[in-house]
Amino acid sequence: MLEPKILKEYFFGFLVDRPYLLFEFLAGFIPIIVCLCYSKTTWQNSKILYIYSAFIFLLEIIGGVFSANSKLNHFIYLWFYFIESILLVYYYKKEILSDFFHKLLVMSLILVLVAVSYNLFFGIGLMDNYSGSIQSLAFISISIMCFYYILSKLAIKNLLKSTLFWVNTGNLVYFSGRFFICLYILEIMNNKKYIDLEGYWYIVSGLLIFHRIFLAIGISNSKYSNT
Amino acid sequence: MNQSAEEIAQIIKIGTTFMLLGAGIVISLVLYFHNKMINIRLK
Repeated sequence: MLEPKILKEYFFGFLVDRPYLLFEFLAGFIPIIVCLCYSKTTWQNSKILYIYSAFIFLLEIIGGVFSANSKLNHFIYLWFYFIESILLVYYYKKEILSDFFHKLLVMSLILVLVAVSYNLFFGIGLMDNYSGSIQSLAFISISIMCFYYILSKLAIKNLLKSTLFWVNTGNLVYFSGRFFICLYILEIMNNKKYIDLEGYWYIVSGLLIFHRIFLAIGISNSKYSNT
Repeated sequence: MNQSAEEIAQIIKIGTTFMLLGAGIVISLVLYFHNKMINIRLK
């Protein structure tokens, strides 16, 4: 199926032809490198972020190989949304101890899982666009509520040296930028001739790079935990 | 949806710009007010 020669010829050629994909691919490595080299915490403290970074790393490789061989990689991204939502909700649940916030987390998780499972099992050929938008909306509301709890409890003294702030900022920027693109992705794909498709992939890649850099800063700040 | 390709492109451009601007404003407001409240508490 995927011989080493094909990988060498198409995979790396594909990345060099599309510089935005190359940068996105490199950005996927940043969190895992930071996890391995610059984070000084124990495994227990930030294991969710470690697992999340490992998933990002795997997604870049598997998604890249599929798209390099001109195969549909949308279902890989759907599985990634599925796992990403569970991991992020678990992370927020550990960080913020509030009953109302936990209810909001469970509600948004159910909403996201229903939308993503619908796409996974019924709408995969159609490349439905609603699961991405619903996930974006859910995580925008979760991050804004998280900021509200940070401000109301004042448990963190130095916001710029905390992990939660950076992870939350990355999520807010990434999901608010992705909302409109996911909402209209079907129309974008159907109007390839009239819409500058590359431009939108540049936006998506830029957002992904921002998200991964913020995540990496958050993980590297975990050495100042409880300050 | 009966929108033309140009309209969709316009909606995405304007929508994404405003969403990102909103996110930036929220983050800067949080940083500003957090700093202010921590200073009040320390006084």
